[in-house]
Amino acid sequence: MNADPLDRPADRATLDRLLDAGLLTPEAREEAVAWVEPRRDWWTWSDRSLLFVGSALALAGVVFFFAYNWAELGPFLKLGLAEGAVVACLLGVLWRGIDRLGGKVFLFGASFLAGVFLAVFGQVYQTGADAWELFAGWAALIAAWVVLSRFAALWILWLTVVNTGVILYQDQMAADMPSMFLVLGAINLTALAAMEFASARKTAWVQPRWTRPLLWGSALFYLTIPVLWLIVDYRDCTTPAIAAVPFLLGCYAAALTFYVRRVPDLRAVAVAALSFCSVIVALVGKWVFEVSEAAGAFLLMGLVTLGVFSGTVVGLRALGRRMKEGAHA
Amino acid sequence: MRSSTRDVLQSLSARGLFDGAKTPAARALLEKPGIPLHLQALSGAGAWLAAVFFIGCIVILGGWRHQALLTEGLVLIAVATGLRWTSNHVFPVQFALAMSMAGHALALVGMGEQADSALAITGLAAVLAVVLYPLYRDPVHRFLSCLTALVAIEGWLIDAKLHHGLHALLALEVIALGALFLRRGLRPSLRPLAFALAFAGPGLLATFCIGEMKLETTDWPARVILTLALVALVRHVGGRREPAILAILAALALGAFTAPGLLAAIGLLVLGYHRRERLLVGLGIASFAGFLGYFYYSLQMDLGMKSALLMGSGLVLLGTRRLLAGRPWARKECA
Repeated sequence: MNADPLDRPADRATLDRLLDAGLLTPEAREEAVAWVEPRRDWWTWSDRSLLFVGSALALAGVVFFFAYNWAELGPFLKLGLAEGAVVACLLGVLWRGIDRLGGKVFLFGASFLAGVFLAVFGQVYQTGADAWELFAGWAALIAAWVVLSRFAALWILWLTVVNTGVILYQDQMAADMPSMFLVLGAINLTALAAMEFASARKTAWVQPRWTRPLLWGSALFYLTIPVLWLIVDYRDCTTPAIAAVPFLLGCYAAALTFYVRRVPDLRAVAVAALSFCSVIVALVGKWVFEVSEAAGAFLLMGLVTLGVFSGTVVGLRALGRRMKEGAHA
Repeated sequence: MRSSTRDVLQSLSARGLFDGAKTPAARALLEKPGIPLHLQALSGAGAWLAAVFFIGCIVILGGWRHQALLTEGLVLIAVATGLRWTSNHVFPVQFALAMSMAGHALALVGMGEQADSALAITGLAAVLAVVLYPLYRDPVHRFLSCLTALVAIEGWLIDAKLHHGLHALLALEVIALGALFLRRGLRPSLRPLAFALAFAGPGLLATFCIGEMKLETTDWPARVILTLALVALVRHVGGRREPAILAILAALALGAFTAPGLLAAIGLLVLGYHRRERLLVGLGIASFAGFLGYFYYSLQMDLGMKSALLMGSGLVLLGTRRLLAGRPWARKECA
């Protein structure tokens, strides 16, 4: 452990603290940030930004084009255009190579346009299929490309399609809401576990820096909702809502073990803590507001909320210090 | 291996940017643990939730009367300002912030109900922002207070049917944003104002896409303002002559036909990367995604036209990339 805090690696947060305390001038802070966070050169940044923004705009343009539902275009031309766009993207993959960024973006485009093709197909033939079936078909159709791509953004697109399909299934088949949240939580937790497994094996393309908060946050969100539901309306509880409780408790346990010891990440623990605090406040609130709905009950709940959140933050700060000391040891 | 804070300070000292005598003070400061942003956010979430309960308590005690709302709001703001002066700990800071923002909401709603005038609400929001900026020394409060005032001005312009004024407001916001962010060494006290301006711009442009607003103005003045701003930005940051000229030509090509929201999003991305401000880059990405969603429902043109515009914009950017990639210096950097 470093006794002198000046010997710890400099980062932006440290420099901002020195600036706020008046120990650094704004000019000195800028110089220091430029040193500790060296910027990739402008060309690399421009190259990627132009590729991503340009491709996103072109894809959005295609979606808008088919959404317009041109009356003048015959069904075969419509289907041919949609199919042609997918094939053009696949030719782009062959041209650039699947291991290069350009090839991966082309494969992303092909996967996205496959969904557009299915939508046009449903529009032309009036198949009578529900929207969730379109998303299920889309997810199945592109699954092999997703596996081949080794591209985190395409995996996230696939998961978004799957999540949307589950939500639409619940909406159109009038399925149980807690079941839907439980299924969504399980899907995102499975994806997270797969990502962590790959990351532990030094698979660089999974990019845990942005995929972890996305998957972990959404899994916790989906599992917290049925538990809050259960608390607010426990008389009308269903088996899936009760089943979400051990899942959520398992997530809290995982946060305190995996994200503290195996892969130290205080952000992940803080997200779990937010879910935990919401559950505790809901539990106390349920009890308090059943007794009274007077001004005093609101005052008490305000104080309870202050206590729960401040206690959790104090605990997490201590945990963060221990994690940092462990990392420096 | 990352440099230590000591190395950084010594390097700054050697260049005359840091007074070496301040090193013990820096050490003393860093011995106290800082609060990471995610814990501040967690604390903030708790404070905001607590504030909702306290507002419920106040409304039950005081009743939902217009005059009471205004007074209660102003009292909450005063109490929050006092609390902020007395403590620097995380929770009181977040609690005071939540209380003050709740006070803002109550006071503005109270003023709206009492005066029934958008101008009165705008005036109160502007007065609160100007008075509290030096008094309430909290960056988040300053940001939210300024943003509230800017949104109120926009709301007043729409309500008063001064729709051409939205372009003037956009021009002022863009000029102020450039003056603050492109100046070397932005003072910490001015950062919240700069970010409020950055957030207000895309919000203002979103109103052009909302059909229900029925704005009696076209979007070309906003397009001209944002194209000029983008060209000025590229000129400012463009190191090499040739790529800067190519980027300016691409900006002009985009500005000729694309939607203002896209120009603003691209401008924020470039500014954020230039200033190493992740929040600005994030805002640029969010504006881009949000704009595409809003644009779909815009009633100003049909989907066929929108499709051509988006595909055209995408092709301009991809074409620019292709053109840049072929230049000798780009190949050298990639090697």
